[in-house]
Amino acid sequence: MNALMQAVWVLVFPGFLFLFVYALFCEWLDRKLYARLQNRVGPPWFQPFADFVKLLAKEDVVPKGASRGFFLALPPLAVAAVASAFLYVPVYAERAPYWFQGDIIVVAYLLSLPTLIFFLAGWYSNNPFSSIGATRAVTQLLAYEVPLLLVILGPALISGEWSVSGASAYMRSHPALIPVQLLGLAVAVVALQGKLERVPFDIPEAETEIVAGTFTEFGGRRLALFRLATDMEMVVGAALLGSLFLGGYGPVGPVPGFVFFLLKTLFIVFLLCCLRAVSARIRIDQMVGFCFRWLIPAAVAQVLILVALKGWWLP
Amino acid sequence: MRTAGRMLPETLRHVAKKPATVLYPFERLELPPGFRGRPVLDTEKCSGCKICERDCPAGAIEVVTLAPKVLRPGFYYDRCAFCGQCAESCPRDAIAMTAECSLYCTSRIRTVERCDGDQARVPRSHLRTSSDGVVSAGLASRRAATGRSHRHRTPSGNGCASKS
Repeated sequence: MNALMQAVWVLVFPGFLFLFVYALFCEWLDRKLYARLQNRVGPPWFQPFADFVKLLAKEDVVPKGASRGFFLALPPLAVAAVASAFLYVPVYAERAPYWFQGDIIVVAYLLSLPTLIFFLAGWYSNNPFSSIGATRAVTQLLAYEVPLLLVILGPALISGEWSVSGASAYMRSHPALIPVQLLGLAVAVVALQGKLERVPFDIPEAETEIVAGTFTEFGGRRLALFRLATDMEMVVGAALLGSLFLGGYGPVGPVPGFVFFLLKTLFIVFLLCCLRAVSARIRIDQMVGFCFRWLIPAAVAQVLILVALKGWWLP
Repeated sequence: MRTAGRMLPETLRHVAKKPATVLYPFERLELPPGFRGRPVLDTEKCSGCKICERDCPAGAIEVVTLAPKVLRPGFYYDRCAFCGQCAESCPRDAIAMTAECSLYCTSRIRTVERCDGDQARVPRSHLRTSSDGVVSAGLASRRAATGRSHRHRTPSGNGCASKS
């Protein structure tokens, strides 16, 4: 029975199948909202699934000189990293299925793995466009990872809990802390936009400049898995921010808790989409400059506020 | 970005409005007057002077002999640029630019129109067989048949309908 429950948790809900369906749904929502913001019609609801299936059916070529082993291993690895991170985020209950003290660090690590995987994918593609995309991806990683980790640290500092579930439970029981963390939420949303490589931070995959950047030489199943990994990354990132900054989900019960989960993640996705709709792509040097000049000081300020709060006002 | 997000209120308003997309083919835009669509010939007015064939910048017109002393232009619509030069050049106003713009078809042969009304067939000397056996009309063969060498506008090798 226990093994069966574990299998259901990992594979169906809230594991892989749910994440797959929700990732495709969020991709559709993002594309539809983006289109509507631009006065366009937007794709029908099954479009992301149709894209995925179409890519699976296409021929996949490994270019001469590119590393066969990396081409084989990296796409499933990206999906695995992101899907594993989702197991530590609470979805419908107070505790995520595999929570433990310290899983904030594990989630942060698992979420930064896809970027490193994209770097390796581009680097070993034997293609100058891919190399440029790959180097830009890791440069961008340096820029947004610092503020993102700093602000994710905030709820952990203030609650004394080092698990996502614990920090989110603390935030839920002290709702007055949510306005205090708004600066952190803003920093986290912008940094998440960078992590997901979306406009204005889609420099590594600047279609008008370097074809498809890191993903230029990937097609068929491999590209399908990479795209799935980026979609899932958006959901996991949104879920993480929702649980850490917006008060999380439950323990009002599994069904209302799940509804809160959906609402809060969709709200974060809405913010990401609006950010995408009103911005233009910036250069890599502008991006690093922006992050170091504005995001990191803002993140540090947020942490200082929380430290002061913890030291003087909270038990 | 001067003030980031200045566009946001207006952008959010777009969500509530109807999209600006024209859902072709269910909705179509109104074509303005003077719209240059498919050129068609009025065989009654045509005198066979071949000015249209000379003036066409795309080399999309070929005058064929239907009967002794009866010459009429045929149009290669896959080559036509819809510029309207033939209609403008014609001294008898025999060519009119209609408003037809949905010219999709699945057969290369049907893009060649020979003198509407008569449905005259392409002269045998102008026909070529391409590699997979489909018979089509080629401008290069026409060049060979008439012996004219001053038409350098045809692309090297094949005419417009040679690959099917």
